[in-house]
Amino acid sequence: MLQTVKKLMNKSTSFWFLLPTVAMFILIIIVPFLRGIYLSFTDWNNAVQSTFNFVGLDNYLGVLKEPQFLYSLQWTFIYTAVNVIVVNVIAIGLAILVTQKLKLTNLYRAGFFIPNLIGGIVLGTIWMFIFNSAIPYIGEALGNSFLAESFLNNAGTAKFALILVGTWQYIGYIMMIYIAAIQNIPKDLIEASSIDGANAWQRFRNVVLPMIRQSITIGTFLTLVNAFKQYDLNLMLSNGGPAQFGAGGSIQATQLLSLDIVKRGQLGTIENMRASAQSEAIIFFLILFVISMLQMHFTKSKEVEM
Amino acid sequence: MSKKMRRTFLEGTAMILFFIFIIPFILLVINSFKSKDAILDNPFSLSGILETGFDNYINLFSDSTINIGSAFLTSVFVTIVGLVLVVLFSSMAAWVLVRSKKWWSKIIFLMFVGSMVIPFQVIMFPLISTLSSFSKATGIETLGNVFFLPIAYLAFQSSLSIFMYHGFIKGIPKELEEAAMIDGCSRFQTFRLIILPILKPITVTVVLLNGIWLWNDYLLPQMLLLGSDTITLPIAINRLASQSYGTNYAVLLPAAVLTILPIILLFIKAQKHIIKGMVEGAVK
Repeated sequence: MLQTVKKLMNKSTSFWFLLPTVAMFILIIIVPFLRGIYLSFTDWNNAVQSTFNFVGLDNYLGVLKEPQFLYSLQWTFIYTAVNVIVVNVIAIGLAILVTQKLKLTNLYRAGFFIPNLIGGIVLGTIWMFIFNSAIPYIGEALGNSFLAESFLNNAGTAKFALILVGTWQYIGYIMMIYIAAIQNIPKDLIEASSIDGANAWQRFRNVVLPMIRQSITIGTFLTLVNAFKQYDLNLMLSNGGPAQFGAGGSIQATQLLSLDIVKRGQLGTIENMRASAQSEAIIFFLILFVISMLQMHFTKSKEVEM
Repeated sequence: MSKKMRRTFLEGTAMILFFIFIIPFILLVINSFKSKDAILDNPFSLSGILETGFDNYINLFSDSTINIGSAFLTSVFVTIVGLVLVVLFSSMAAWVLVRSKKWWSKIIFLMFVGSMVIPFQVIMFPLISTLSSFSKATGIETLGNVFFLPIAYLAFQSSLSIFMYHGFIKGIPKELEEAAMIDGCSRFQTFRLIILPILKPITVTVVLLNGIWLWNDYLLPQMLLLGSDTITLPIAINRLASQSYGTNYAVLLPAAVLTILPIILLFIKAQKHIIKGMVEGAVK
């Protein structure tokens, strides 16, 4: 008896080994994903609803006329573009700085890297305190009315605040990628260019930069995807606010796409908001999908060149 | 510029930048030991620390509306059980997917890896409705059930984990397993006695990367535990901030310190592994 059980187990172990992960993956990722695509074409309103009417592209057309969605889409692109540039430029600078054989180099690296290990909810809390209390305190002490007002109260400064914290959080991680790349540059290459009389900028421009090109592609795409999906910080720092009044009525000035999807979906049963949020999420997914395809294309083709 | 001056200049620049980067944490820790009034009075002053001491932290654990102590334990539970499930089941799955040459193994592997591009926002709302139908059909509680959360993490973290294990297992010579099987080991014994120990280096990476993610994650627990009194630390902090405590930093800041502390301790202990794992994960 035991022998047969053992034999059976042996033959079907592949099945049992795969079952827990695959079953949960299908239930929790695959089914909701496919269902979500379907539901974005229906009048889906809430979680308990059991019958759905097919409404074609209505949700998509509706959301494309939504001022807040269009605003959030545009703001997400701006936020992402600024993030990619600021994070990568500063990360390269810091990576070069901390690879100069400094005495406390490990301490510096750890300090720059640590914000990346902490979740957006906690970082958002800390910075909320800094923007609402610490900076206004300095402003009052100096008699500076610009600093005395919380950055989070005003659309322009709140956007700046979100970008500041978002880049601060991510620079250290991207810096580590550039450090690894810089350490891989053969030492004699840099020495040779120094002997040839190249100054620091020329060494950077003609030796370091070409040698870390592959890493710049990686750093750019990592930052791109990460910034595009930003949610936690956005929620904690300003919850999308402050409100800004424009042509389309009231607009949440710092509301990125991720947050907009969640907020719209949580409106729940009001006028197809669930399905509308879902169609927005599908658009969000399609943009990320295109980014990932580009990423694969760029990282692959560079590898061939090397 | 002489060489020595250049050295001093670089060291000084790095030191200044280092302080700019960590000032938020310094302010956080200082003010977490000050009374509400002392914080509002001057966030940069050290005065008031001795009088308040650990009072804020003690109050945090005795707060009746939001119990940070129980949120801390919930976070520990979810992170540890989630990690055990992720490590065990994704390494098992990855092993089969590498060794099996059947047509389906490639398809399943592609399903896992391909799903990495799906953002959480696309799955979030349909997940809730799928799980509520699933619970109705099977009677298994999934929503508002803290024991289901680690299982959900198995699904959400399996793509990355299987991908990492897959890459590692490919480099293990098959002869080891064959020898074990000839010696009479079942496949399960082979996995437990031969494969699992070899996987240790990559398991360290999988544990660190997933552990940090699980500890910090907000949106998934927030969705799955909606309406439940059992909440994780990030949810507790968000609730503290959005409830009456909006500006009560004497509660919010110690709660933030409590959430950060385990990660900092982990980082001090495993700095090299964490950085190496994160950089290698990105480059692949």
